[in-house]
Amino acid sequence: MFSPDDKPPVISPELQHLAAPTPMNDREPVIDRLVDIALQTHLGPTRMSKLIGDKGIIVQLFYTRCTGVCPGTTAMLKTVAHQLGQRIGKDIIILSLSLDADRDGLSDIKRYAAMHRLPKGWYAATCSKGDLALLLKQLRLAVTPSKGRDGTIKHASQLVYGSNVSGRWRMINAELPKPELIRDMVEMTVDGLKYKKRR
Amino acid sequence: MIGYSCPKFNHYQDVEMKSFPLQVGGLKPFVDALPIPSRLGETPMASIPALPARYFTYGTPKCYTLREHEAYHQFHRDLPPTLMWTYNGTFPGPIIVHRLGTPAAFRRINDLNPNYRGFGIVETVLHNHGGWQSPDDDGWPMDFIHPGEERMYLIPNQVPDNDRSHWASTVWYHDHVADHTAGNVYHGLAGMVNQFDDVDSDNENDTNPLALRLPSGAYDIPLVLGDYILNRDGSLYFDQMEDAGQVGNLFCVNGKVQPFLNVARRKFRFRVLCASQARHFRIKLSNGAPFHVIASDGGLLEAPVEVTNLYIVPGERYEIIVDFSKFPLGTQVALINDVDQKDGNKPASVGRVAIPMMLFVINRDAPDPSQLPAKLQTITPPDLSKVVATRTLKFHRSKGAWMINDRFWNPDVPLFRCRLGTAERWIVTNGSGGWDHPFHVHVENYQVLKRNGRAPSVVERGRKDIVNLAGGDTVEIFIQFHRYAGRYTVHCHNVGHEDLAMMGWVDVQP
Repeated sequence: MFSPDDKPPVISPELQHLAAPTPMNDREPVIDRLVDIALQTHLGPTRMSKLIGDKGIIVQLFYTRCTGVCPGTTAMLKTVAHQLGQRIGKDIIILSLSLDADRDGLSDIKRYAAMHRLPKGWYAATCSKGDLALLLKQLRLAVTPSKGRDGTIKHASQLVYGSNVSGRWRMINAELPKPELIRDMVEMTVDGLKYKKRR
Repeated sequence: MIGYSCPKFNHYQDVEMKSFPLQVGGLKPFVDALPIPSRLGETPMASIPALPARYFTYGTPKCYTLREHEAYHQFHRDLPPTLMWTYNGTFPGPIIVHRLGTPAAFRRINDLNPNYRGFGIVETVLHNHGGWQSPDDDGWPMDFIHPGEERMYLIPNQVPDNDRSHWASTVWYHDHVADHTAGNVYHGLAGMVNQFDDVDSDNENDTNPLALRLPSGAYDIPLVLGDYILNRDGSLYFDQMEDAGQVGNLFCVNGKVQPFLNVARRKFRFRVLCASQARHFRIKLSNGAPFHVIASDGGLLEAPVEVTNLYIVPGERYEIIVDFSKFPLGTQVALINDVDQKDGNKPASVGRVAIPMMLFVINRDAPDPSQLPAKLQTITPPDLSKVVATRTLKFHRSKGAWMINDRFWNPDVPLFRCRLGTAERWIVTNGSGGWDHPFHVHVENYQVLKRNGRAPSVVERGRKDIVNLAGGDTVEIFIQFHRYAGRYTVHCHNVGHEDLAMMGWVDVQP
């Protein structure tokens, strides 16, 4: 790498209008660790940081009354969890967090967890509207999930996954065709070097 | 393992910090000289692992080494250095020079920091973007290596059917790991490749009567366009949750914020690469002077095309000749971008802003033995009689995500299967007006037959591997599968879209 000449020029008068300083920038800080909100999980209260610890996490944003994408996403996540096997709970946790802070209470969350027989390491949870807004803002998702007249919440089937340890976060669409692919992407993102190539 | 160099810098000396914004702005333009990457030197064959027989298929290869490792880079004289991921310690990486007929063997070593924390991923893939090589050497997105590992690649430097019009002039290399290409390229894993033969010979004094004698040596310069955001500590700002592709406020050429280049009163060849994640550029000279486009992604055009502006999208390359002999000594001319883009979706306007990218300062006279020939080459026209299938590729957003033909990236299932030795017509569409998609195919370049039912623009009539799909666009292309069976990756080159699964592959079967 070389620079042919290092002495900056004196800008000619006719180009002064192009010599203005570069524009400022003031964006929201990027995600590093998931915001440490209070959670009510089906196993009891906790905080996000405590729940994650040094593990990787897959966050599913759902609500218990959803009849749209959530049942399919949950079913697909079950397959991912099955494929991750003993890693679930040990290295990677799944958090299904309700977008419906108005209606999803602890009893709804517990019922949901029981209905789906969530394995150890998979937490269904709800949180306050304020905390939910903080998390959604951090994830660049709509701060106030829009509700339809029938009470449905319009939301995408994105999964967020990553690790507070690696600082690496990604989103993936839960409707990706193969749970194996999601498992691989999650492992590669969460584990980095430890990830073992399967192909 | 890693040797850091930390250049002298003036920490925030002239940085304006209005109300302490979170990221850097207020930088003075035209204070850093344009850095020009060095050419990559050969590696003695004896110093690399023994090459398998396939590396000698096309003759004895020249050997090269690319080592991925962290190094500091200074975007602007008034900023602290930024820790980047580099090929061989520089950003952009060194220029690789290929000669037609001389194969090259690359040893790629991943020496990135295994304990790195943040965006991107230290498992890496090397893609030779625009090169004609086996899919195994092309950079399959799942074919990554870990830090501490290495692998070899064979770049044959041959042309299909002995058709020299396939010989690409400007290729580039960059990381291509699934799910993290945007972050890894943003970290700095990118560099240019210049391809020469005995016609485009890298010698403006060439006595071969067939030689084009285009500007060469110090007058053949890459211009890698990019846009960045830096945190106040100099570190890279990269929003991992941005699904449209990130656009930055710092406009860079060859890794410097709005640099200057002292030029002589003569012709220069500039190889322009749009290496941004999502930002489009339309470049022009501040005085409105015309320049000539001589090549697109896949090689020389048939003849130079005089233009006063040139539109370029992520991943695309164009080569231009600018003749500074028309300007008096002391003239300053800025390279302007007049595309206003506020997010990764698409430009907000074209032609209403004037964003300086760099400054040319005409400061000396110099002899100019180079020429701008009226005829550059003859491009073999598409032989439509070879077409055995017509396919449709639909780039669209659905279910809150980016898709191709209603499908997400799936490394196990191809979009469709093609037959080696055949040609196809692909109709590529973007049905939405909300966002643009630069469409890229690996391994083989293609020719544009029609854009929205009409003949393509003059600069799109050369060989291409990227065309932009603006909202509502339909582009018909002719593509042949000459020699290599295997997986041909296709994707949107807005790398933010690509990483969110707007990628697929075509299975070319023997």
